[in-house]
Amino acid sequence: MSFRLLADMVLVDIQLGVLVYFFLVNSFYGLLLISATVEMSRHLLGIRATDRTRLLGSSLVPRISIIAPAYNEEATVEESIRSLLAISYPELEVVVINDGSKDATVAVLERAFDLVRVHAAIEPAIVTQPVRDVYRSRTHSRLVVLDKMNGGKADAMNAGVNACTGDLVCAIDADTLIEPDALQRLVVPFIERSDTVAAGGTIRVANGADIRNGRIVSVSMPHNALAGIQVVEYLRAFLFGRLGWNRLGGNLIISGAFGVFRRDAMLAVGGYESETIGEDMEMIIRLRRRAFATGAPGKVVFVPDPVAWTEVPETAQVLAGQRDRWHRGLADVLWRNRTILFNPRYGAMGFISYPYFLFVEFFSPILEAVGLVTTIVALAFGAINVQFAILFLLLAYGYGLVLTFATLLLEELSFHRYTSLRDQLVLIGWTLVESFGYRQRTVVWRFRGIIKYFRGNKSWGKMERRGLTRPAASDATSEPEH
Amino acid sequence: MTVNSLVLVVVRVEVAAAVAIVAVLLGAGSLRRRRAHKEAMVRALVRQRVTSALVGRGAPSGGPGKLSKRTRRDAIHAVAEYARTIGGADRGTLAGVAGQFGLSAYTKRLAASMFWWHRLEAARLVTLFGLSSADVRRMAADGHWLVRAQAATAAGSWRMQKALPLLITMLSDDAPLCRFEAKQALVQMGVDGARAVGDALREGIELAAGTELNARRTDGLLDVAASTPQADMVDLGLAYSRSPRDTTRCSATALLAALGGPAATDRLIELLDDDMGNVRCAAARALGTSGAWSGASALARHLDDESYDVRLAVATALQRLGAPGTLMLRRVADTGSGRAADMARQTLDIVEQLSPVGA
Repeated sequence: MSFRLLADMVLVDIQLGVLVYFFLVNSFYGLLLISATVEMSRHLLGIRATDRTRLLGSSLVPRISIIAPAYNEEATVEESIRSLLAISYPELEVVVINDGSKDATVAVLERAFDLVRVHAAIEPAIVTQPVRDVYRSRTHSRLVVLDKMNGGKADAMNAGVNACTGDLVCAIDADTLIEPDALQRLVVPFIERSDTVAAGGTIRVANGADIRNGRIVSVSMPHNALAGIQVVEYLRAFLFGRLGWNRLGGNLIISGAFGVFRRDAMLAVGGYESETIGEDMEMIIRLRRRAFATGAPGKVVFVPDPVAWTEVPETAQVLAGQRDRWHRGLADVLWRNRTILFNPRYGAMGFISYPYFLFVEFFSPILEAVGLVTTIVALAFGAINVQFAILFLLLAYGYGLVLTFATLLLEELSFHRYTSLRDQLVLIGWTLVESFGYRQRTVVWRFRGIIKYFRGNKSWGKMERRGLTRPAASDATSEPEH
Repeated sequence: MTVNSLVLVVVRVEVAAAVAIVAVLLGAGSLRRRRAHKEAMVRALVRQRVTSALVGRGAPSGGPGKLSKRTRRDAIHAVAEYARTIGGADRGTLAGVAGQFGLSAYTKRLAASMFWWHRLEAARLVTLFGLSSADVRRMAADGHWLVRAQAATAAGSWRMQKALPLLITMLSDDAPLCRFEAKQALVQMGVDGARAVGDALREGIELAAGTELNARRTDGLLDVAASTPQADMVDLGLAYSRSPRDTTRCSATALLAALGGPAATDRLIELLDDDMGNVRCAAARALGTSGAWSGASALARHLDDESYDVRLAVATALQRLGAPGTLMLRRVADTGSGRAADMARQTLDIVEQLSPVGA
């Protein structure tokens, strides 16, 4: 057999493998979309004509502690904390953890909220870096500020869990803007079912929105191209991805930017894992594993209507760092929990959720890259039919379009936050072009994440925040050092 | 058919699907924007009608007969929005306005539906506009838990005494939301609810340690009783505080705190030595709530409890007791050591630096 013939056979086999992978993955996406549509309908029908404000006057609702870690957030921290203190919920505590910031984060808080230092007597139920000082506010009795040595986001969250007094813990990023009624909505799964241990809400892109006094006043599509495409990505990830998982084996991830957890369950699993950068996903998997192992409550749900807003990167460099970090986090969490794979003990999590995250989310950049490279080589060698290659690319592109358009339709029929015709056309436009250049770049960034993970890189990188309400750029860095 | 032509067919189907979805997307958006305009008109009509009805000038001209079926539904929901903010006799007036838009036919149709979401919508509308005890009974027997929970909400909202037995039964419902709403409703019922709860607790003393269903019901009754305490419930609080179930003992502490008095305080002090941490915690909180000064020294002794949650609850309780609590905290902070002194110092800092009253 000649080398040429052998190469042709290998290339064709790889192409066939990619085709089979494509078919399986996209069939599953279709299933997720159907599941998400059913879930959304059920949810909307259940909340129609409901009056959630009743919960505001109730003495029976669980107490919630919002845990907000901050690292070098002097530009945004005052505005963010004011918006947290303005949230409508009867039993609320806000715990801000300054994770050894090098800037004036604590000084800004001290001045803005008239903080006074109190003696610290917090029991470290979860071991963390030492807490240097505890502050209480003279003007806002619900506010507690911890100043601790730098230990990373997970470590800061754990310090917050130690110090807080709520039955439920709401984990957020310090720059996240939570809608005023979001907690009233997100607490419902805990009232409805006693086995709920975690619930997550939707994260939406704040770039382009009009924000005043820590509140979203009006929403419109951002002018920046990268931010615009990320709006499409976030809608797809939350409305179609996370919502769909509610029925297909349960979610493995609740966004670290906005999720509510039962505090006793968090303490029982030892809090967030400080040694991973995918601490939010790792916590969820540990909670669910504990449920399977001990019969403890372990339901994790995604609720689409509680909304938090976050600023997304507008430069390729920062976005690359974020995606690379997300992928390293995913790799690390999957590796730590590898025993779940096809393990009958974990039911649908072992046979559906985990394999999906491994074979689709983790391996997709590798397989997409392999598919693209081998297609080019096979075309050059004449191993595959040019017409077929073009048709296949069109097929893949078309399927992606159908799924994304269906997600946009789901958004329009449910929450329709993007109300103007202009915004709808812009969303459609970004959907049409995201596959040309943007998608390939994310493949490269995620691929780089895999390589870095195998090299043992666990750094968070840098995330520049412009500040949600400030037009001028600030130089804050939200990710702690390790 | 070759592979290429098959793929081409699929691509064509995808293109057609994508175009169709985009068309529906844009069409739905356009329809929504147009409907928003129409809805504003309906709301204006509703506002006019509601205002006229509330000031007693009768219905304005331009009747509901001109409204389409869909707009009629919008009008009913628009009146429902008002009903959430208006109480008393005016609520009845609003029901009359909604009636002019065809409320009863609409809700009747929904209530008889085989779909739970229709029955739920009907239940929510009758909750706002008024209902009969037959409505509540029907809703409380519904197969869907959301409708059952709504029955409790409705009964509480209208303080419907005839529904009290149903609400007490619902405290042992399998669905946590039903139990939650039943508790809320019983609290809303005030004295009537409290009396019924007291009777149920008296009947259930011997069942307290029984099945899970009884336990749920007992804990729920105690939670309600703690929110609507009656003087004759002291014996109940004391009896249930001796329950073998820790959750029941916890619920009983809240009732004892709400009732106060020497017997309740003595029992709460005893419960500070309970084997279960959650009970000690609840007892400490209860002593703080009751404001019983005689509990201060007992609380101070438990600032050294092995559980952090108990120490925190004890310190907070001492803070709430005011002067005697602060005195105890200062004593422990000055003479104590380790975790007890630590907790006392933290609480003293809060008392002295944040409270306007100070130490």
